[in-house]
Amino acid sequence: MNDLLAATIKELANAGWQMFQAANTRIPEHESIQPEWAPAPLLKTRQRSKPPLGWPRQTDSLCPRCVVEARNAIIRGERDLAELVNGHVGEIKATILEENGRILMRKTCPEHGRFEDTLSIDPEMHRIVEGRYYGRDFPTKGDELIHRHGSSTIRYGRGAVLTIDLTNRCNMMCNPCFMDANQVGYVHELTLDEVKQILDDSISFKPRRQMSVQYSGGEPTMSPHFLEACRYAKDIGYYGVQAASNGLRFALEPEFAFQAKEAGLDLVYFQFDGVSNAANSHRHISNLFDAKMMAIENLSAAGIDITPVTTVVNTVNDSQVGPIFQFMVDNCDRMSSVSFQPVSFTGRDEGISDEDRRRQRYTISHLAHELQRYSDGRIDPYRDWYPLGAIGGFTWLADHLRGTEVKFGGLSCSCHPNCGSSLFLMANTRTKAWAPVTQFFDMDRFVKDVSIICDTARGHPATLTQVALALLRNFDQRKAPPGLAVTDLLRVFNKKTNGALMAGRKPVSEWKLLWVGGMWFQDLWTYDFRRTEMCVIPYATQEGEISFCAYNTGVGWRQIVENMHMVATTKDWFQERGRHKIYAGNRPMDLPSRSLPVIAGHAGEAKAGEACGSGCGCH
Amino acid sequence: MHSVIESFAFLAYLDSLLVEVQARDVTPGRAVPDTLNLLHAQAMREHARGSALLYREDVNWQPTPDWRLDRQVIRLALALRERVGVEPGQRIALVSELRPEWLIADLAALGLGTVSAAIDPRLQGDALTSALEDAEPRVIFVSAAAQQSLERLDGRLPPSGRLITLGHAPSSGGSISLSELLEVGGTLDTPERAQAYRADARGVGPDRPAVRHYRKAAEADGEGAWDVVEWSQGEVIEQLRSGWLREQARSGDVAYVSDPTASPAARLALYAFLGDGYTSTALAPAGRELSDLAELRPTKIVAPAAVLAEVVRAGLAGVEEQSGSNGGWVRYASRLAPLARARRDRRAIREILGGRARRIGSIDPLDSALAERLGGIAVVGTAPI
Repeated sequence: MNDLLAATIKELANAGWQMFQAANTRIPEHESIQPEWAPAPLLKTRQRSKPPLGWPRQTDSLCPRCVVEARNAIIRGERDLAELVNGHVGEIKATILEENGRILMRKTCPEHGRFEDTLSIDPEMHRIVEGRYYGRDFPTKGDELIHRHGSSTIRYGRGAVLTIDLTNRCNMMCNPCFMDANQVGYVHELTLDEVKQILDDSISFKPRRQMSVQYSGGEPTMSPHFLEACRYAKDIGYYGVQAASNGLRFALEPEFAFQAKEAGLDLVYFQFDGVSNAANSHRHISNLFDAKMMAIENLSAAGIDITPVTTVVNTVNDSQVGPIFQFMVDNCDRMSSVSFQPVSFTGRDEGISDEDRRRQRYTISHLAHELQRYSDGRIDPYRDWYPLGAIGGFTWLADHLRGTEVKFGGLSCSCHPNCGSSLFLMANTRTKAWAPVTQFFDMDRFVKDVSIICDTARGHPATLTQVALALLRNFDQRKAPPGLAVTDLLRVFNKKTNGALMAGRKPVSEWKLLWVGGMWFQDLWTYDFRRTEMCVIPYATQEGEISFCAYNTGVGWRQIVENMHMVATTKDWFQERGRHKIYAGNRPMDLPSRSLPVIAGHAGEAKAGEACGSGCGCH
Repeated sequence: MHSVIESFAFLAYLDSLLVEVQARDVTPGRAVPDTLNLLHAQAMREHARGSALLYREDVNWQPTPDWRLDRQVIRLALALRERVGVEPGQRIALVSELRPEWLIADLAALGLGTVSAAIDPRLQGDALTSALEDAEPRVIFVSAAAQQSLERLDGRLPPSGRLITLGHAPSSGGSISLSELLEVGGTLDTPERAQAYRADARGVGPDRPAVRHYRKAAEADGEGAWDVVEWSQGEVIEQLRSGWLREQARSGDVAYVSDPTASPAARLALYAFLGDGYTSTALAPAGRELSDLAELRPTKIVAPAAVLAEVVRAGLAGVEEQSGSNGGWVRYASRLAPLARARRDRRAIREILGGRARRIGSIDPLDSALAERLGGIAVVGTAPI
């Protein structure tokens, strides 16, 4: 579209918006609707609560030493589990402050002394991201039997991803590993009836929102119930079913990918540490990248979306951030997102020395600056990064548009802004051209516009009219990548709201919205109970739904739940049920004999051992 | 009168258009492989149907999609091999009516390179004992109903047969339930083992004996008599090639298979429908034929001649009833135009068969009048057709 025409449309839309709002804001707001899934009428912006933000501020945290001692005592039976629920085991106050250009968490235990760790290396970015937080979802209601974990209890919202560990068995021996798979000496594995019960419970309280059900482990595909669990989640109404997988099963057995797709699997949250075998060597399989490529090919052929997930450890694999980002863009026809997870020192890593921890600590701000460097400034830490809940604005809009008759509310990710940040790109699946959405779309203003639209709660036609005006006035064609029109943006937003903008229709576009996420899980040194209570990625267990961080780190509910519900010692299991193969020992794994397709130029180079692996951009 | 004939002709024309439209949606042609195991493997890769099997539980038809069927076959095979010690060349026996578990056990046995011997569940007492003695099975799969027949044998079971019940009942008295075996097989079902099993199954040659049938003989042969037939993997394929597999499946095809005797004809039809990768096969219990046909609207029907005759009778009775109650003009038109009457009867039978039947196979000989009746509606024959 001609720039002049585009600019004219933008200005006309802006004028139209101003005129519309001149009247709209003078008329009293309509009452929000109350859909069946919601515990109350949809929240107005002013009704949304926020946790304490900014700094210096005080919060509730944990002593890294007291907690481990208490947890072990509970597992040994020397202390009662009720202490966790009714007491404040290992809890101490912590201060979040800015010092020497960093945001720190500092805390002192009367018994074990002072602990300090870095939350951000860029206070300005931290401030901007916190400032973009839109507020919490509804407080939970009717969840007394699901959320019952003392100080770690989840109190707000429904969450975005419901994680269910199907088994703690795994076919790899990684380090780091949240759950210390294969090493704990027992097997914790859910029966299909238990999975069904957990899923039934998950829709028993309000707000009842769509979530992605993510089967995890261990390696979830090792569970005999994996496929049936995918099907059941779909049967009860969830539209997103994921698996957090190392991908080996999909590489070794292509048919399994197709069967998983038919059973209901939509996306694999794909362990992915780098774009060469060398970059994956710490996983102790010498040809792991080759296996990953084979898995990607099979999953893609089956129609399963892939999100590479990389645990980033400073000085270990931080140089892979750029190449992995590029890999995702190069493969944007088969991937929609990439998730970087700055290391959380938990599981086997809980005993890390202070020196190693300081050296290996990686934060969202590290990630933002690394991507800025890798992209030659095309990704801007201050303009482009939003709290994970940024998509929440679209959810509010979709909830208003869908009305009262829907069974589930839209997916809402309203976690604490310190839990993670992300940016959105628009990428062309054919040409691979890309640009951050916020380069050509005024997201800050658009979210404010959405707030007005939702708060005034006019009828369907007026709402759609305002959405159209808001889209047009915030879209700047001159800054958009060549070939991207506002209609492409509309299609993408429509898809993200599950067709709510186009009456359920979802026309396709060769432009695609890509998500680059940084999800920073807590560990004992960065633990903040204000984050835990707003968790949007709860673990669903036989003991209810527990915040991700409270489960994997914090007081360590994982060990407690698994010990309570273990089904056999590993030795007995192997004897009665047979051993499974574990790929380790820095040996290559046998892969099905066929040539690997070259998906990305960079990947091909890396396979041949030619990429420097430094993230210098030599791709 | 003229307008009545015209309207029939017009409806017939619409009918033919419908058939033509359906015919356009034919699945792509593909080579029929040399063995039953390869045919099954090929079908599992089609991913072209919502459900491979349908089976009535209580009031609903429960689907068994391909992915579930394939995994259950693999898991049972792994459990049979690693926990029960079944080896290639041995025999397994199936004493059960047709049901999904019957097929899972059958396919698992075939994949392991064993001979799957189906024993007519109507055999009782000495006949059942002698059939089992002849089969010398390594394991015997029995349905709950057939288990009662076995219990009545009073210890006369062949000593080698490990009893596996096709249900959820826990192990008892030396028997183990299929669900327990599938549970064990679920843990054994790793990609390495699954792929090794698939490779072994693909390696079973066309000359390898595959299926065997012990069928209750005709009354004339004496009470308790049975006859036996055995086919190799390749022989089964040859029969399928000249039978049901001759016609390519169509997207959305549903087959209705009803046979309380688990006969060779029904078995071949099952293999064909499963093997084409497109047809969903309903394993229908006896006694609910009319409502099941109306509900399923099958495109292919396999049933005993007696059932087909009963369905036709019911269809025609319905027409007579309707003619009686809906005024005289239809009766009048029918008397004047035998052609119109025949067309009306065909329509009625077609409707009662669900309205979509394209092929009908009887598992035993059809009398000529019935064959002629059905022939106006679909391709008819004694299965395999």
